[in-house]
Amino acid sequence: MNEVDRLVRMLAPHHEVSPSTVDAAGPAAEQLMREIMHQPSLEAAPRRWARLSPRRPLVLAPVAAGLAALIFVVAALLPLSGPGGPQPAHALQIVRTDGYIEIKIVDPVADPARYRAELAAHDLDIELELVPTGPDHVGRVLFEEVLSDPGPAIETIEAPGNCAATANCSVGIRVPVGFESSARVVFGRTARPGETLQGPMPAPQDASEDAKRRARAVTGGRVDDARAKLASGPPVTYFTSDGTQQLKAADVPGTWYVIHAIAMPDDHITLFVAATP
Amino acid sequence: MIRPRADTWVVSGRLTRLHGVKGAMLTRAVPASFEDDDAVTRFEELYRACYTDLLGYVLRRSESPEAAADVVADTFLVAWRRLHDIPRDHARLWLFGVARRVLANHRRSVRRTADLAARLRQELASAHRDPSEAPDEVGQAFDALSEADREVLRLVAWEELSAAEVAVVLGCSANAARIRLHRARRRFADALRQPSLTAGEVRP
Repeated sequence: MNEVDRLVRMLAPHHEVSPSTVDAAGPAAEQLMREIMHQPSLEAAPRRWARLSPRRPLVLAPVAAGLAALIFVVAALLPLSGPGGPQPAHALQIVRTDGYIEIKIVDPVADPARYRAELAAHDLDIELELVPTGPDHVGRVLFEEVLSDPGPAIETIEAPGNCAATANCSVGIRVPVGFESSARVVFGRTARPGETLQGPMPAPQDASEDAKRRARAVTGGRVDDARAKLASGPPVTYFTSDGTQQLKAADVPGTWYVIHAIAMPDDHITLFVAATP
Repeated sequence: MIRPRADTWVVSGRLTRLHGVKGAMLTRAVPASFEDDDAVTRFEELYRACYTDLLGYVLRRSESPEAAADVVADTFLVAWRRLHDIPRDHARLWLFGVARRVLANHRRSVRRTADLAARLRQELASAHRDPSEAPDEVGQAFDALSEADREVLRLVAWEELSAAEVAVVLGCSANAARIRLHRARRRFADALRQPSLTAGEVRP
């Protein structure tokens, strides 16, 4: 090694890391390997994934777990189309609507092969995966990637008023009829005991009971009323009711409605608003 | 929590050299399993042979240890998806090449994958980064180089790769790698002699 190389070598950062972390047989490495091998391998048909769309990162506070859990319950109760009485259990609810195929999860712990088979029956080449996540992201779309092929894009089904702490209000995906590309979509599911959570991490702490009470007090009312009630507290943040866009306070008319309100860990309130109730 | 030194591995150039030898040997052992059609077996062997070296490579180039976890995850995810593209004799070098591109993407953008590396990130959050041993002037001269020059020098000095191995990582011919290395060394030597560096403080 010459002198230049020796000097460069001196610049190498040194990290003190637990031996179990560095060990390829350690728990962190083993878990990562399993997670990767759980991902769809594209060996059979190498593809160029062009659009990677992780859902919005955690910016807000946790929402009641019951709301998110409700998604699966409601989906499971919805009737499945088809003649001849009760259908065999489906892993997915797939409904053709006006120009779209809407997909929601019915069985969050089904074998991924069942999802693929049910989607393939609708001529959809979509890898659908469920990963363990925190209560507020159960049933929500955590991640989408779509091939670069031109054509209509996959959309998420948003449920205004049913939003996670991250302003993620998705409860399913909506695939345009004629979608001929391939995609991978990751939903959150309830974690089994001992599983490591994926997706947005839960907020480090919950909001105070007082902040939650103030959020409840303004839900369903007019923005003007909410502003009056929250004037003495921390600044309020605003999102569209589907959680897709943050709004400036000045752009939100007082006559609009508060569809949903969440108390943040720092006790400030986020309002999901719309022009109509 | 930072574990006591006695209970830690120092992921440094020196240790990398050790792992580099081990990794190279294991990498050479990998082709036997490549005879197997079972992608799972092949990936497991590749992963176990290269994980430590790849983690070291990425840690030394990441803005933070936590960020390194995501880069390692994305790199192995690419490997999983492109298993048949990985050269049998140079799996470790191929991974370095992928990691290099993943690192560039991570610096440019937000997280791109599902959160595969939650536990690794959690464990690396407690990693302690020691300051460089080099005088400040050496670091300044190095920082004055282009990223391309810096990386070719790092690959040789930190990963202890030969010019032919550097060529695999960078995706160029061995001859081109030798020329790049020669020029990078010369430019670094020139930078060390710049007037802004106080003469005599760069000790041999």
